[in-house]
Parts: sequence; structure tokens; C-alpha cells
Amino acid sequence: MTPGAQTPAPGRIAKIRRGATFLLGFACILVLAAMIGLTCVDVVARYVFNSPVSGAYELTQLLLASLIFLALPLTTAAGEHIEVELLDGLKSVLLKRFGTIAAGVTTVVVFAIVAMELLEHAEKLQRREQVTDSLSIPLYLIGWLGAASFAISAITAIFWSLKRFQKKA
Amino acid sequence: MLEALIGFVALFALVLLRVPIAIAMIVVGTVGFAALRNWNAALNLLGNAAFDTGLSYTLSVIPLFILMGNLLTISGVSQSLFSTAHRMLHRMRGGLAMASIVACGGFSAVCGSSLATAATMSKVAMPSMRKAGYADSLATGSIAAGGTLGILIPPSVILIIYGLLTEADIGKLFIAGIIPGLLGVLFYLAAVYVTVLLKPGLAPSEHEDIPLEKKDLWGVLAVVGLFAIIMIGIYGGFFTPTEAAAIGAATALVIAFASGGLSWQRLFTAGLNCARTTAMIFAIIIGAEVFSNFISYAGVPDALLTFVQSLDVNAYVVMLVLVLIYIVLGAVLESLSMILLTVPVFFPLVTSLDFGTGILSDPEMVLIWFGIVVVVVTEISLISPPIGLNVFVLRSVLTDVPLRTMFAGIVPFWIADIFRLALLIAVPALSLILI
Repeated sequence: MTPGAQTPAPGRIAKIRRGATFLLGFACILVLAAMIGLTCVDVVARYVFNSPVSGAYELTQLLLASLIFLALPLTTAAGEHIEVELLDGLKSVLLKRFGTIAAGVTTVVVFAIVAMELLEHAEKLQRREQVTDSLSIPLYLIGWLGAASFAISAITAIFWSLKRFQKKA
Repeated sequence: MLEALIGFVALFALVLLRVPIAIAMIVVGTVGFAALRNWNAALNLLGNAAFDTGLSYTLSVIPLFILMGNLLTISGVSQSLFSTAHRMLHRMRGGLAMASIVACGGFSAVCGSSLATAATMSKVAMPSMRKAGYADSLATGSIAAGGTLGILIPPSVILIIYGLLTEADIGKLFIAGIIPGLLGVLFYLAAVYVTVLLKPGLAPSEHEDIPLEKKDLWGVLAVVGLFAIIMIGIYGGFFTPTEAAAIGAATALVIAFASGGLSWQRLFTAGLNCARTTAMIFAIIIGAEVFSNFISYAGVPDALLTFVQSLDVNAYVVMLVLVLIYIVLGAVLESLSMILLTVPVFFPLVTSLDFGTGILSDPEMVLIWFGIVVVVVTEISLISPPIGLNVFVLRSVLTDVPLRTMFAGIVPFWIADIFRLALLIAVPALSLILI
């Protein structure tokens, strides 16, 4: 790759990635803090003031789902999905390369399909106007977040697989 | 049934190609279900699994307990636990290996993950053991084995997931893990004792005494206090497990802050690691959900139940066969996926077994006892070659020790585990008496 004015793309991509990583990470931490804070306040309110926070139960559910969807691209980018390295002692470079490509393509395709299914699911929820029981929060929002999460994860998985393939080759 | 068999073979093939386990389970589960019914239904199920799995109140304990462990790692309580155990055991031959095990047991009481326990303790215990002249095999073996206690001594992420799969009470599962966990510590201590008795060259007979600082006592007190809050809270019915975990995480934050080791940077890293680990675990749960749907639809649990009932053998024989299956599977499958894949198939069978009139005449008790047995077998899988994950965690921290040395060091602890497993199966009361 020749550095120069004509190839600003890698730098820009790296910048976007760093920014997105920070934003997602920060959002995850806010969600975690909200989970802890909400539950602690709920316990104190229940025992000390005898009036539990209404909707704490379903808010916790929504927060957990948000946390997972916000963090999934980060897990994917860090290559932290669990794999089994049984064939690592294998001598055949060809087979190893084939494995790397197969694993990468499978991961990307699966993430993309799940993203589409979640989008469809979200549209269904929106049409039926489904909301949570006590706070009436529209559920399709979580569906959108999930679809975005899996879509970004699919893109991330492309980059990650390419990097791994280059390292192996 | 044939479809299910093909499914299992396909799953193994994908996993061998290093497709992430979560992805492999999604692929096989979806394609399998589509083959049995149709694509529309299969993709619908996939979308539902991805959407619903996260919307769970029960499972919100997972990130909270993970965060608690991460924060306590920053706070340095692991060092306090090790120093205190060092002080108590330094007169024994192999005393530091024993101290590592005791400290692992202590850290397990506030950490729900075996990998995290092993990683944390390796940073604390390994330098001391090296300085004192311990053989790498014994040193790494004691940490890798001690680390496995993380999923047995409550809180435990694996017990939470077992509770989710079987609808067993998580509080009761936690209580049931206490005595088997303590037995684990005792058996590992015995393993060190016997090992250095047979091969005295592995460890020095004397160690220098270290003075304890005030900080160390506070650290030990913090761990004991936190464990007490969580267990009394859940057992006494004051908190749900999620509430106990949130209070635990908040308390851990205070402990980390008071220790002086907390910076914004470290807090950010602890939270970020927790979020990534959570997403990794949930990806596997989603995958297992999809795969289990396929396996159930293919009729595997029912077929298995009918088959075993037709054999008309003693309940303990069935248990023995199941345990053997787990030990074999544990050597080739990653622990969390092993539990997610097997428990839904096996637990209806186990609860239908007739264990006679004793403590196991109650199916709920059988379920909890089986949970403990499954966790102990999982602990064994974490240190079994070729893919024992705890050993790989240590390897990533201690890059200069060969895997072969580590697995050699594991042997005495592996034997100790088999004895403990046999004892827990023979005497169910050890798990159930506190409930």
C-alpha cells in the first residue's frame, strides 16, 4: 500500500473505527451504570420507603438487551467470540487458509441474516404497536438496535477476518 | 433422529474450522430446523431467539456479577487473599501452591467465572512462586485448578445458566455449591501435599515469612463481607439474585475506590471488558437456543428418555454413563456450549430417574444435585487437554511456560477432581444438606 493523498481511506476507516469503539464502549458503561443504579435504588426504595420503583423489572430487561446489542460489535472487533483451536497444530497451510476463509464468510453471513431477521421482527412489533407492560415503551426500538448491532458486527467481522487472513498468509 | 446426528457432526466440523461456536450453533440449528420444517419457520425462530434472549430479568445477573469480579480485580483483594494464605501456610512444603489454591477459593466467592479467577490469581501468585523456586508445572497447575472453583463457589455464571435452562432455583443452586466448593479446596490441598511428598524437588520446604499489612486484612474482610451480603440476601429472600448482583457490583466499586487503585481509565476498562464478555456469553446462549430448538424438534430428548427407560437400569448407572459422556465431551467442547447443548437434553431424563427414598426422592433436589455434578464435570473439562480453557488463559498470561508443562502440572489436580466427583455422586447430601 502506498501512502499518499490518493489513499486516505485506511486512515479514515481507522479513525471511524476508533470513534465508534469509544462511543459504543461509553454507551455500554452508561447502561451498566444504569442497571446497577436502578436496581440499588429499587431495593432501597422498597425496604426503606416501602415504595419500589415502578417498571424496574422491565427496565432491567431492556437495559440488558441494550447492553448486549451495544457490546456485540466490540466483542466481534476484539475477536473474542469463543473458538476451539483443535486444528492449530495442523501443518497444511492450505487447509488452514480454507478454514480461515470458511469461518470468516460463515460469521459475516450469519450476522447479516440475523440483522435482517431482527429488522423484520422490529417491523412486526411496530405494526402491532407492541409496548412493555407497565411503562409502555415501544419494543420495536430494541429490535432496531439489535438489527443495527448485528449489521455493524457483520461489517466488523469482514475487517477482522481479512486481518486474520493476512496474518496467517 | 438421523437429522440430529447429522447436525451434531456438522456442528463439530464447523467448530473444527474455527467458526466461532455461537455462529456454528446458529448455522446448524437454523439449517436443521429448516430441513425438518421450512425456512420461513427456521428464520423466524432465529429472529425471535436473537430478540428475546437479551430481554431477560434473570440473566441480568450475568453482567453484574462479571463487573463485580472485574472491579475486585482492580481493588487488589486478590493480593490480600494470597498474602494472608501465604502467611498461614508458609511453613508447609509446597505452602505457596497451597496458598494459591486457598486464595483462588476465596476469590471464587466473589467472582463467578473460572477464567477470570485463574487470570487474576496468576498475576498475583505466579511471581511469588517463581521467586521461591517452585517448578513451573506445580505452580501453574495449582492456579489453573484453583481457578476452576470460580464456577462452583457462588456466585457462579454457570450455575445461573443451569438455572435458566432447567428452571431450578438459582439461590438454592448457589447454596448447594458451597460444600462441594470447599471440598474442592481441600482435595486440591491434598493433591499438592501428596505431589510434594512424592516429588520434593518441585517445591521448597521453607519460605520466608511475610508481614501482613492492614490493607490485607481489610481485603480479606471485604471479600468475606461481600460474600455474606450476597448469600444472606439471596438465601434469606431479601434480594433476588439480580438485586444481590447489583448491590455486589456497587459494593465492589466502593471497595475498589477505597483501595486507591481506581482511575477513570481502569474503571472504563473494567466496564468495557464486562460488556464484551457479556456479549460473548449471550451470543453463545442465542446459538444454543437455536440449536436446542432443532434438537428438541428432532425428538432427541424424548427418544433418549424412552431408550433409557426401556433399558430398565439402576439410576446411578445412568448417572455414571452421563458423567462419562460429560468427561469425554468436556475434552473437546468449550464448557459453556457443552452445558447449553447437553443440559436441555439430559435434565428431563435425570429428573425422571428413580433414586429411591432418600434425599433424592424429590425431583427438585435431583435437579439441583445434577446441577452441581454438571458444574464439577465442567471444572474438570476446564483443565483437561487438549482445550482446557483455564490452561489456555494461564498460557496467555505466562507466555514462557510450555503447554505441555502446564498439562503435566494439572495431573494431580485432575485426579483429585475425579475423587471429588465420585464422592459428590455417592453422597448427594454433601450438595443438598444446606438447602
